[in-house]
Amino acid sequence: MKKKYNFSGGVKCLPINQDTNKYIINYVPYPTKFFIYVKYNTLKKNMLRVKINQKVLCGEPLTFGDSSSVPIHSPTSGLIENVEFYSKHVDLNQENIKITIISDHLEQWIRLKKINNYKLYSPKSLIKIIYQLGIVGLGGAQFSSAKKLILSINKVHTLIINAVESDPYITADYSLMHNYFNEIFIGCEIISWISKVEKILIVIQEDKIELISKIQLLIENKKLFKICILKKKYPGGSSKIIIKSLTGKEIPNGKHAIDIGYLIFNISTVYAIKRAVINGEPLIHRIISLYDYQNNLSKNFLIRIGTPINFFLNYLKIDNNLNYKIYLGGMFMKDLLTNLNYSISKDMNSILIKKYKKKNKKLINYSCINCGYCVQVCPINLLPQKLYLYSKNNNHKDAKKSYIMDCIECRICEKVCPSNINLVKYFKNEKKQQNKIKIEINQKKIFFDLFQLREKRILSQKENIYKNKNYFNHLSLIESNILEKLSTKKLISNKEIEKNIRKEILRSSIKRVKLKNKIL
Amino acid sequence: MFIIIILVFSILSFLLGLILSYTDYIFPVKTEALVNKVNDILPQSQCAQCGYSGCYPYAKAIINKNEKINKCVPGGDDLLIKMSKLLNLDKNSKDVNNHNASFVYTKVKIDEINCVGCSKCVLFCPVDAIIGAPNFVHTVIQNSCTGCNICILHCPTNCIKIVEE
Repeated sequence: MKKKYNFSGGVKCLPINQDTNKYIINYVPYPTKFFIYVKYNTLKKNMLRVKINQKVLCGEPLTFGDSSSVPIHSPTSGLIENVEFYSKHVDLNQENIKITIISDHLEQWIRLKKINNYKLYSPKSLIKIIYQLGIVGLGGAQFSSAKKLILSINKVHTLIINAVESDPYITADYSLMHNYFNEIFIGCEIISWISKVEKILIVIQEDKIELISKIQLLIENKKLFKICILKKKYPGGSSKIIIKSLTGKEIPNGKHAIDIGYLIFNISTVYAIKRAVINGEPLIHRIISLYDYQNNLSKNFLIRIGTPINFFLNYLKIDNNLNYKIYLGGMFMKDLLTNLNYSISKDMNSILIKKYKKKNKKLINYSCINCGYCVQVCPINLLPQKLYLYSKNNNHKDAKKSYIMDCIECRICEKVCPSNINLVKYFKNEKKQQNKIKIEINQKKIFFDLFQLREKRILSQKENIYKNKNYFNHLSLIESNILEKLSTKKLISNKEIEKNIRKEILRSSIKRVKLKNKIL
Repeated sequence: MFIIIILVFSILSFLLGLILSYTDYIFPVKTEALVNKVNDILPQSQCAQCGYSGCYPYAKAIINKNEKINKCVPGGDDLLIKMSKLLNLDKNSKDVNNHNASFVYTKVKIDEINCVGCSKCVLFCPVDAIIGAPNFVHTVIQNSCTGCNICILHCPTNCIKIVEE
């Protein structure tokens, strides 16, 4: 038996009865209206590529990309009805653009560029293809994967493929592995050819026995691949925890996993990269798992990005907000959804449904008693009870010193706490405050440097003028004195000469007159 | 045996203490560190409403010339409390000016159609955020504008406007 990797902290979850039909991917018919949300910044005004009442084909890019965001593609062929401002359901301050598309149910694709032998292309051109087809990290962070690949060239020695679900009852990644495993292998080879790694590790939790045996048969002949088995505990999907449990190294504060030499990709991102490079398809659809508390409706669905959630729930014959509570995210990290017109986006992972009951007990928040249960459970060795005290009393300096920015918001400490304090709410507020303080300090530094530069400039200008003035005055005084003297001398001499000449002329004339008189 | 050890270490520590006090006498610590600490608290908008040309000269004057600490208008009450904590002063209720509680960073924009290029605003900008040559259109660099609103007073054609972030 192989060695099982483990990490400190965490909670063991109760297993549920696994049905075989969970691994089958189901399909949903296409709706008539698609909503697509684009992040909007004030600086980039000419980001949109389409106008109202314009025809678009399936897979046509709607926006230009820039250094921070990738272009977004249209999911169907049809007419663009409207382009307007819209605010997201979580943050009311963040402004977004909402694009509505009416489909014509014809599914006309644009011409796709297929590549059979990717080794004929250079790595930079392959990265450009990945960027232009709009692929982001599908684990939840939504970081542009082309940027990750550019940073990783000549820096990375191992590639880690993350097949661990962060939440216990989601099965989206396992169903993808079950159905499309050969394509994922090709995707791994493409990434390894781009960034030239020496090892590829595939990380899987221990209870997927069928998949482990299947993978071990496939990788027997290949030297690059290696399989790693992780113990089944709750927070296992984060990149920090996986690297620490596999290698024992910790990522230093404020740095990325690439700086140590490890490249991490989620398994659905690898699949999307293969589809982009070899088939030429842009990122249009993804797999989403639906979980029901009564375990009747839980399945996996392949959905186009941009389908409204209202349509999706109506197709499954689930009533609206009146009978059910609808959450986004998994069992532990869930957010209540308030706007049902919000559509499925690239960073969405799963949808949770719970029947609405009237008799809900009000949980009373008692004060903290320093029991220390949250410290034993935390997977990245933070001290939640200290952080809670600092963030409650607005003590920003000490909160930053005890590494609040490393918290991954897994909500284990909330579940364990005996006095029902909602700790993560405080941590989220504190994180926002820390970001604000960081931006303000940066601005203050820039302003102070500019002010000092200007003072230096003015001082040097004054010195220059003063020096030049002195120099000119000194010289000019001397020069003017000499000139005056010279000019006066010259003037005097000129006048004298003229006088002398006149006198001589007069004398000569008088002489001539005398001579004439004598002769006469 | 123990007495010898105690004697040796006491003599050594006495000698080291002498050396430390001697170096402290020769190279005294400059008081610039306190000025920098006060300067970090100030809002750095360089608005010159306190009577000095910027935030750093005001911080110098507080420590060297015993200037009052309630002269900063955009800082408000929060800055008074922070400053009195840092300098160990008793805060009186008279010093607190209640009219300006919250400070919002604003920015300034030039209406480029009406600008005539007199280059008067360039001379007065405390952070060199305005670019322009005489008889040409001037612009404000948005990243380095502090929102001090000094340039509005000196514009002869009233074409500078305040833009909120």
